[in-house]
Amino acid sequence: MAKRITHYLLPCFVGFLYLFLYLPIIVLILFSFNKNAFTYQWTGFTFEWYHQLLKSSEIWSALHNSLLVASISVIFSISMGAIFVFFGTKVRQLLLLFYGSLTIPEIVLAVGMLSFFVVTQVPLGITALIAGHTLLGLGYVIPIIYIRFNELDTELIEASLDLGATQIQTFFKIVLPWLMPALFAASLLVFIISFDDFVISFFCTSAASQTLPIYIFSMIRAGEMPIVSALSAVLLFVSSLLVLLFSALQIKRIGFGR
Amino acid sequence: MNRFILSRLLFYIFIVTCWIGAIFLFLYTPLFIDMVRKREVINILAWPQVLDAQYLKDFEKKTGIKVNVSYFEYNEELLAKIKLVDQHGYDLIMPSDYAVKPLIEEGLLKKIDRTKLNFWNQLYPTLLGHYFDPYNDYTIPFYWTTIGLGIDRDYFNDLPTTSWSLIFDEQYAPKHIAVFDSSRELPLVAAQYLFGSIDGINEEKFLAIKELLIKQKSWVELYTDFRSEYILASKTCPVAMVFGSDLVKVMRKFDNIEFLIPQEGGFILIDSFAIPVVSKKDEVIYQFLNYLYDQKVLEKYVKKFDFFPPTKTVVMDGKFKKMSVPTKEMFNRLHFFKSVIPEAKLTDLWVTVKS
Amino acid sequence: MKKITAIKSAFIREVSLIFSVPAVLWQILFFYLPLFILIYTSFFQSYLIFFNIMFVRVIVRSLVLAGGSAALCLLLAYPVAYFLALKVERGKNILLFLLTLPFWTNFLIQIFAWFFLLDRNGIINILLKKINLITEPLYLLNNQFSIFLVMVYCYLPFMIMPLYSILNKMDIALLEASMDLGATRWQTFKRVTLPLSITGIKTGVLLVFVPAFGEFVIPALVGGSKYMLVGSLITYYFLVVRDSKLGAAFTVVSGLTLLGCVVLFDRCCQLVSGKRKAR
Repeated sequence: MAKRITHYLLPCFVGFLYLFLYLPIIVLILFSFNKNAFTYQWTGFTFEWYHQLLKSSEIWSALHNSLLVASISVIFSISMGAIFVFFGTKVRQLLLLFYGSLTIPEIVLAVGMLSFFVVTQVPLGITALIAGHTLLGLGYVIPIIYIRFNELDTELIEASLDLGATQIQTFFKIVLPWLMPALFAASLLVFIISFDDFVISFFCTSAASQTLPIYIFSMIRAGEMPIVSALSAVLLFVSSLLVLLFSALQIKRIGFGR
Repeated sequence: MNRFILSRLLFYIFIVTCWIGAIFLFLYTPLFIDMVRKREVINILAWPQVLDAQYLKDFEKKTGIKVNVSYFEYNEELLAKIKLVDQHGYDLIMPSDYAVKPLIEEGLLKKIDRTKLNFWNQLYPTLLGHYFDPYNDYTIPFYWTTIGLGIDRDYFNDLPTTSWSLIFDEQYAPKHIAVFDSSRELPLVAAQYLFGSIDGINEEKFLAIKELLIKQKSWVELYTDFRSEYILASKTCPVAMVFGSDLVKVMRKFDNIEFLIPQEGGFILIDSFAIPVVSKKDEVIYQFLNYLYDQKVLEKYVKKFDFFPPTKTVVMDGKFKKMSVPTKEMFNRLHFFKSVIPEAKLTDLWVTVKS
Repeated sequence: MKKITAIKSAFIREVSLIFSVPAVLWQILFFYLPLFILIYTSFFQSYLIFFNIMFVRVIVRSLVLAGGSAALCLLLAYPVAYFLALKVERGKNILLFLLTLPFWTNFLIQIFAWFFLLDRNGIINILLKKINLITEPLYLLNNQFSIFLVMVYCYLPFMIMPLYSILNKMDIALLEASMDLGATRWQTFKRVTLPLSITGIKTGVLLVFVPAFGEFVIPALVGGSKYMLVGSLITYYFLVVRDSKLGAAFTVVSGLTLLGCVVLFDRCCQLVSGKRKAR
């Protein structure tokens, strides 16, 4: 009897949950084609909002800012993180330093950074954002790369050093290729986190150089629905592609064995 | 041995200092960019959605002068940014009425040379000469709006009252209303309703305001500054505190929505242009202002954003004419949000009400 | 030989430290130093202010929100993680992929999407009206219900992931052995599965509780800005009032509260698993 309940109840529950997760998104995409701007009733199919999306210079500049900040944060955090993992983790305690940024609510990080920037009179904007996002990035990059790095046979490194290669040569010819999958996964992760980040951007940008999430937030607050739905639909599409890419790579990696 | 340790230590300190230097160089880059840019552009600090990027492009095409607009969301932010004036170098700013006085008092604004402006006589006289700048030495009004109530006539066949009690009095207020999410504006509106004036608010009156706002919360559906029009249009609330100019675009599409300035008196907000004292680009600034207030340009703005025009040369159509022409009699019923209650008290009040 | 390797490892240590400077420096400059500045600034503000019932209410409200969201997420996520990890053989990858997609969606889009459903004119009300279940549209938005709903929606993936990963590593043989020894399904679950997944539960709860405590976007957008929470108050003090002393002090107070709760939670977990071990 209990078996029958769990046999049918559980899948049903899981099914409902998946529906719960997807329903809002699907509705959002559908309604981005709605002619009606003020209420949620369906009045007709239109591409109008997508046209306005393409014409809006503010969205393009916000997109530009988001992409710029995300790319540079990725470059900074990956390079600093990879170098640290290879060279710095001989001193194990240093690793612990980096677990802090993920265990604190992001708002505390954000106000801390804001205070820091005000005290040092750093101008808020894209560079400040890059600093903050790189910090977040480090918190993800270092554990990911470290785990992958640990799987590398230390004897390979010792052998390379014994055979006369310098630290730097060893790094580029042996360690880096091994770390590649982890580096790639970490870059994708940091890019998405930086691109989607809201809290830190909200505090450290003060409306002068907006990123996309900040722009979306101010549009929602202003009640400008239709363009935001069109924008959301586009972003959803892009992130689905990215996730597909990511999953495909994961499967490929597992498929090839280690 | 000691020398060895010392030299290693110095070496470390050197490396660390280099890196710190590099990082801060990176962080201060915007300042360097600003310093280079300063010569060729006008930098404006404005409210979002008041200056349209498209028209600025037209100005650039016509005159070759580049215009950079930065946005701010709170007047406090404006004050903070202006104080950093040396680094940021804004040439034109747009403070709200209550932010102007502190700016003048701190000597941060430059006097305006009216001879260089060709639209001064076209400005509505009622928009000039107010408490914050009695002779308009420093400010030119650009954006103005009235604050009142938006009403859904489908819900109210007969308006029980034309007073603020529609949102403050349990008897008249519908169960779901929308009010402003502002610690500065809402208490002053409450004061106007309770006492008929925002002057002379002592401790006793302040407590009465506090009580009223706490009581009001039980029938507030949401606090919002910008979404009230949509709230009315989607019939979420039948009554909402609104900016008159915002309501226009909804009133165009829905006949059942009306704007009302309550009998105790409504409120007015004027955002003006002002020139920071450090700016040295007077010529181009005046050129820009003349461009902006030009009849054709203003007309485009009004048409696109449903703006209340500051000059007599542009008039809104039909039923909006009455709302958007600032007559003396209208102004008699309107009040400014003056800073009569000290900030600290407002903050406390707001936190109490919200929690 | 030994002497050479000794020198070499000393050299390696040298170079290591030098190259680790950028990352460590970045972390110190932008994480530890700001926190220090926050705490330092907070001392310029008298902490006595916070002995007001008002602030206690704000903090308690945030704790309730965070705790409630974590609990709801746990209740909803556990069956799903269990099902995916232990009951599905084929199609696991596809189902997992479908699960991660909402996770990668922008946070604000996730919130915004709910407006279409919950608004008085939204889909749910329209549907309910069409099938004549209600005459007047329901007020589903701008209240505690909508806040909790959207919180659970946004934070659910954070709970499912760690639960799934720990349940996935579980040895099915253990479960089978337990059943062979005569335990019912429920007993197996209570005595074998649950304790073994405690670490996953712990991670998941913390992954939801900690960020949810500082959440201010969801109550602002979906809650009609009616409720003042820790995050909203911090934002208000820093961005509107621009009083960094007050803001910093309040941040420290709420941060300490959060830390206290996390430690309490950890102790509870230890007690629970300790109890089991003692048996």
